Amino acid sequence: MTDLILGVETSCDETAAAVVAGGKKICSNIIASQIDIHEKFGGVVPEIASRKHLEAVNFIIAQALAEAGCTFQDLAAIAVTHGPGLVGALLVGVNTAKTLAYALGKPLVAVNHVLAHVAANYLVHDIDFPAVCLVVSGGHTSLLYLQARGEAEFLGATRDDAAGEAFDKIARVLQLGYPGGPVIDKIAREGNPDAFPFPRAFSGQDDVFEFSFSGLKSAVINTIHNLQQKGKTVPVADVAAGFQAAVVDILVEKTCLAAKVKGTKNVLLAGGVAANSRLRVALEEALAKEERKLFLPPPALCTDNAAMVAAAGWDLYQRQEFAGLDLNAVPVLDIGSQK
Amino acid sequence: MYILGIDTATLVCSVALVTEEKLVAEYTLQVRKTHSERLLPLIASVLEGAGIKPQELDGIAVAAGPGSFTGLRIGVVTAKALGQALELPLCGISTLEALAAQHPLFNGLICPMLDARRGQVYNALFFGGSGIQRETDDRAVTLSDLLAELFERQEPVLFVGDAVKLHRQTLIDALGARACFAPEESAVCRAATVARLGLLELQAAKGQTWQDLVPHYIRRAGAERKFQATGDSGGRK
Ligand SMILES: [Zn+2]
Repeated sequence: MTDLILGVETSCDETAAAVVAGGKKICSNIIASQIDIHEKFGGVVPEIASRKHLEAVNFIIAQALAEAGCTFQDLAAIAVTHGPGLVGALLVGVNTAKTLAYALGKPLVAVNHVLAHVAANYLVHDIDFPAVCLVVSGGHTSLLYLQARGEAEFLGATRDDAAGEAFDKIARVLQLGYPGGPVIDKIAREGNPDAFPFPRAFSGQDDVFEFSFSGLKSAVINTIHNLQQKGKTVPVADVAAGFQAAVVDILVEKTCLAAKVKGTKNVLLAGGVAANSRLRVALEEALAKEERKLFLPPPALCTDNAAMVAAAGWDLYQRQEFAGLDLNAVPVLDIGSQK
Repeated sequence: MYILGIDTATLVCSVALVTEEKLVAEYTLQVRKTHSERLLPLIASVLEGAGIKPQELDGIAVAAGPGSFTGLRIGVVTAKALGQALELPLCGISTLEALAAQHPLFNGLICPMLDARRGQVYNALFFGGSGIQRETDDRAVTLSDLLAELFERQEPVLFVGDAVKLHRQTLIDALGARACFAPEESAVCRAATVARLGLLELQAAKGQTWQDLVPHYIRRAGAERKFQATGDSGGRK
C-alpha cells in the first residue's frame, strides 16, 4: 500500500503542489509565487491570482510528481485546500484536484487551509498532544486546541484584521512595500519599540481568545498622520518597532493564556507571521517562564505551501474522510466545518 | 472516437459525449447552482450513462471563452486536469462560434452575443446557410457599435446568446424584420456543439494539450486595465 499524498494549494497567491509520504516525509514541495505580480498593486488582485493559478497549477503538479520520482498511479490520495481563501483562486485548485482524483480513481480529501498551517509542524516535529496552536498569517489569526493530529478545536480568532493583514496595511502607510511582514520585521530591528506606546487590546471575559487589531492599526495610522500634519519626518523604524511590539504582545499574551487555561505543555506556532523574529523570540521566552515548549516550522514551511496540505490531508485520509465530486471552494471556512 | 464536450461559460452548465456518428449523451442544466459543484458530477453521470470509462475518451473539447471569467476557468481547469490525468488531447472552442454553429442552415448573418457587462457584449459575426463562415474575431463591443455595423448590411440577422434577452426590443427597433431570434434551447450554448467542433479540430490535428490550453478571456483583469490607464493600484488590502 502506498502512503503518498499529493497536496494542491491555490488559496491565495502561491500555486503549490507537493508529495508527502505518510504525512511526514516531504518527497517534493514545489511553489510558484505570484508575489512580484501583485507587488505593483500593493496586494493580491483576486482575478489576476486566479488566472495565474490556472496557467501554473498543472505544471506545478507535474513537477511535484517528477521531483518525488512517482507517477499519478503511485498516489494514495489527492489533498486540496478548499478554504478559507480567495474563492476564484481556490476554485482552480479544487476543480483541478477533484478532476484528477476522478480521472485517476483516487480518493480526494478536502483540507482546511488553517489546519494545513498547523500540520506544517508535523512535517518537522513529533508533537506530544494535547497542544495549543497559534496560526498567524496574512489571512488568519486563530488559536486552536489540538487533542491529536488532525483533531482541532477552535478557541478564538481575530474579530477584524488578521495580524498579517495589519502588517501589510501599516507597511503600505509607511511606504515600505508589500508584503508587510518581512519589511516591518527588518526595519523594526533598527527602531525603539517603546518610542510610541501603541494600545494593546486585551478584551473581556467571554472573548478571551479573540484578537482585534483594528484599534491598533488606527492608532498607528493616526500617529503617522499627526506627525505628517505637523511637518515632522516620520521615524519609520520607531513606528514599525512600536507597532510590531504591540502586535507581538497581543499574540503572546493570548497564546500563553490559552496554554494555561487548556493546561498544555506544548505550544505550536504556524502561518506566515510565524517567521517574524520578534514574535518567535518573545513567545518562546514567555512560554519558557511557565515551562512550556514552543514548536514552529522552518520559515519555508510557515508560508503557504502544499506539503502542509498533504500532511493535513494524510490525517483525513487515515480517517477515510473523503470529499465528493461536488466539492466546492469555501472562501469562509471555520474549523470543524468540513463541508 | 469519443469526445467529451464541456461548457460552463455562462449560467448554463452543459456536458456531452459525441462520436463521429452521433450524439451519445448530453446533460444541460440551467439552475442557480455553481458550476464548481455541478460540472464534475455531470461529467461522471454522462460517461456512466453512456457506459464509457474516462480512460476510453479520445479527447476533450471545452468552451474556452468568451464568457464569465470564473465559469470559463472551471471548464478549462477541468479539461486540463482530464487531459493531464488521462493524457488526452484538448481543444478550446470559441463560445461564440459554438453558439453560431448551432444554426448552420440559417441563411444570413448569425450574431451571438453574451453579456459582457460594462455596456458591452461579447460578439462575433458569422455567415450561415451551408455551415458557418466566420466574419469577425471574437470581441467585446458596445451594442450601438454592433448595431451600426449590422445596419450597413442587408441580410437577416439571427441573434443567439444570453445577452439577447436583455436587448431584444432594441434589436427589433433597430433592424425591424431583419432581426430573427432562435428558440431558447438553441439560443444557449450546448456542449454537444462544443464537442462536435472539437472533434473536427482534433481530426484535423489542431488539438491542444493540457500545457497550452488557456481561457480566451478577451478582457484583461479589471485591476490591470485600471493600472494601465492611471498607474493606480487596485489591489486588495
Ligand atoms: Zn496561509
